Amino acid sequence: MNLGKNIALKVGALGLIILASNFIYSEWFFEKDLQAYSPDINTIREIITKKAEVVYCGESSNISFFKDDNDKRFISQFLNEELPKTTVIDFSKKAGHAGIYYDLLRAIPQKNSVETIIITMNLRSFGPDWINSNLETPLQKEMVLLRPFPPLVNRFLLGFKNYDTTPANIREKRYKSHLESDKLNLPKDFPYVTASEWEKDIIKIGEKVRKELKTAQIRELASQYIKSYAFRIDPTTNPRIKDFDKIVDLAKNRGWKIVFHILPENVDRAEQLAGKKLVEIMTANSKLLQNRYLNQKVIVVDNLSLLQNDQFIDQDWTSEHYKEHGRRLIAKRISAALLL
Amino acid sequence: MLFNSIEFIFFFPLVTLLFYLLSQKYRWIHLLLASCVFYMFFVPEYIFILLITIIIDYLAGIYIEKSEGKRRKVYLIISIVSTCLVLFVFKYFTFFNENMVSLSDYFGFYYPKRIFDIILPIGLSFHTFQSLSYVIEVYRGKQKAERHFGLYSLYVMFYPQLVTGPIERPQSLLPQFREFKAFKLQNLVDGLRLILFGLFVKMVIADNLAPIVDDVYANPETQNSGTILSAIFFYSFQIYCDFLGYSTIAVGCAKAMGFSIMDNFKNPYLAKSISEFWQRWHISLSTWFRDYLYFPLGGNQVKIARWILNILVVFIVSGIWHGANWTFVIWGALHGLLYLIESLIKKIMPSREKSETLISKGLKILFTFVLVSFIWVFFRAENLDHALSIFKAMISNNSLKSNLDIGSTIWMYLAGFILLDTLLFKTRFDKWCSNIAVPIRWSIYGILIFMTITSSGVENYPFIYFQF
Repeated sequence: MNLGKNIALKVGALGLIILASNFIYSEWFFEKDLQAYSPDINTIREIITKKAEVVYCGESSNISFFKDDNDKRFISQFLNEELPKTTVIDFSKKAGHAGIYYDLLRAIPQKNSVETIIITMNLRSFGPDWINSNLETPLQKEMVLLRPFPPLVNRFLLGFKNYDTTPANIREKRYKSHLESDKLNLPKDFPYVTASEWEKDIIKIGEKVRKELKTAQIRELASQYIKSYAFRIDPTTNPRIKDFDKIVDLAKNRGWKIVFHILPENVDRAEQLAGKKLVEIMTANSKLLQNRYLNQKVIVVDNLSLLQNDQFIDQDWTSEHYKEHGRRLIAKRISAALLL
Repeated sequence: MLFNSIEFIFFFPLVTLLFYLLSQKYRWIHLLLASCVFYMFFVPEYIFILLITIIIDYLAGIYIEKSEGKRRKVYLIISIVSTCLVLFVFKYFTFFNENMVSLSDYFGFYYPKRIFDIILPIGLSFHTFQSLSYVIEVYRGKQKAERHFGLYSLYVMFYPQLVTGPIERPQSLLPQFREFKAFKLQNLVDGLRLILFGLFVKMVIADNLAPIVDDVYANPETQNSGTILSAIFFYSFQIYCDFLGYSTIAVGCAKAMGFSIMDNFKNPYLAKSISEFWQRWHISLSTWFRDYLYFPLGGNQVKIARWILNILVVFIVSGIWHGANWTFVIWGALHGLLYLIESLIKKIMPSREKSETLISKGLKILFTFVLVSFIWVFFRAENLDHALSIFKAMISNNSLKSNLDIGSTIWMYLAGFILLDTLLFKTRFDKWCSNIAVPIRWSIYGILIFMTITSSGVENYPFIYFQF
């Protein structure tokens, strides 16, 4: 047998094995894997079976509640109350962000009843802390089986770890490098060029910087605020911007209306602990996002300063977890924007 | 780059295809560039560390060959010290520092705590040893100093065995780079068979055992004795399949281009004694220690006390080679002690292998496996307290209800692997495949392909030996 024929036979046999494997896997094993590794498939199926018109994508801000809340419903559920004639289904993923929402939305079958997509814009998710979070690996892993390829290909991609598997120590290094090198671009009279310089001073000589920073615990919190919010979004390099851009394109393609809502942050506490300059940076980032997406005909709801300190559940950490009143207020603002 | 990654799925065929398409004159450049790309997928800047050791040992080789008398030794020592210094800085400095701090606390002297926040370059111990092997062989006059810097770099960096070996000798690998490797379908087929087998044992066996082992080692106090014992045995198979998988893929990648690199394993868990285990486990490292440490120390051609010391030194150094932690020292020392005890017993009661029954052989294999498995606990544990807590929980938690469910699938995978490993006794997967009928062979390919894709572990477990 000549070499070419021999190779062709082997490649052909290999092709048959792959085809048969795909058939066997799709018929008997795929569903079990979906339930084990990508349980969001159930939400996607719910969107179709319940003929949902609105899909709400959010991180833990949607599902967190305060222990003393009378009504512990999610933001998306309050929103459904505001829009009684529509069915709202939520994708709520802890530490979720636009990249993950894009994968979820892409997995919604072409034939669907969805009209509107609402997505949280969490300022912190644009920062180096969140971008280099170790939660990225499990989050991305859950999305692999939902990709638009045949089941066997998706399982192959999952097995061959076709998602971000950056080790924790390298992530930590990248995060520190951002803190140390990304410039804050504040006026020259401001003593710090980078977030790292700023937060280190807060920890070291906190009380001299701000009189409120009396205890080590408070200084730690102030440092956390700086690490979480003291960055400038660079639209040319920030991965979240790319993810939101992809969502805009996807929505255009599918004919969905999109609402991006900038989540409330504890601006009161940020100012109290780190000063007006930090709030200036937060506001500038929020404005950048608004301008960018309003220009792309997206509805952008700016809730950055909507809530006061007392509506934030976590008082000792930076988070977007709101009490009942706060969640209701956010839902009202979104529904108002939708009904406009 | 990981062998079990999408990048490698594209990298391997592309590199192999280009290798055959290029003329012999350019092949070394191609392989060297490919090896650089392969290495730089991890932490790109660490290629410079590799470059430093390459330059040192390349020059040392030439100077050793040119010199005579004491100067040869001086160049050899300079080379060994500087290569080991790189290893010390990146791998052992923090360990050394921590121990110095503990000693200073205990004896009451001042030793400043230095923080050296650095990521260990992948495979540093492997390519360092490959480099050392070269200069020692040149010093011994068994290898000519390589004048071609590119070929020498390729010897250290050849991508299939760059990060976790097998640690090749210069006499075996260097001449192969000068040979013209004509395309032979059989080489490609054998290479692909080995890659498939390697991926299967790593991704299906090792990566499915890993989460169970991790769970038990994370909280041994919550597991019952049976589960802990299972996890101890599972780890034996996890580390074996993990390393065997990598080594087999490495051999397969090289084979596809016509290169022969040594086999690192020969059914180690079928060994009937600790000494036999070391003839079958990580062969390229154990022979390295034999040739470059044990023999120079005098081997067994010395007085008994010195021989005991030699054995212990070799095993302890082998332990430290694996990692900067006292657990590795204990692991090596225990193997050394068992080796000595076994040698003593053999002297007192010489075995009559020919008259051994199958049952006594089986019992010996089982006994060796259990011993090796218990010693692996030190290798896997984070520190000595952790290792002891595993043993403590294993003894005392016999009435506890385990909260870990080890599914039947795991046992099936394991049984399948043990069967396969036994079938491959005294042979290798590629050769074994050649001797079976085509329909059965292709059915085996089908099963392995299907399982590697659909039953592979989904958590990311980098190859265990990468950290060394």
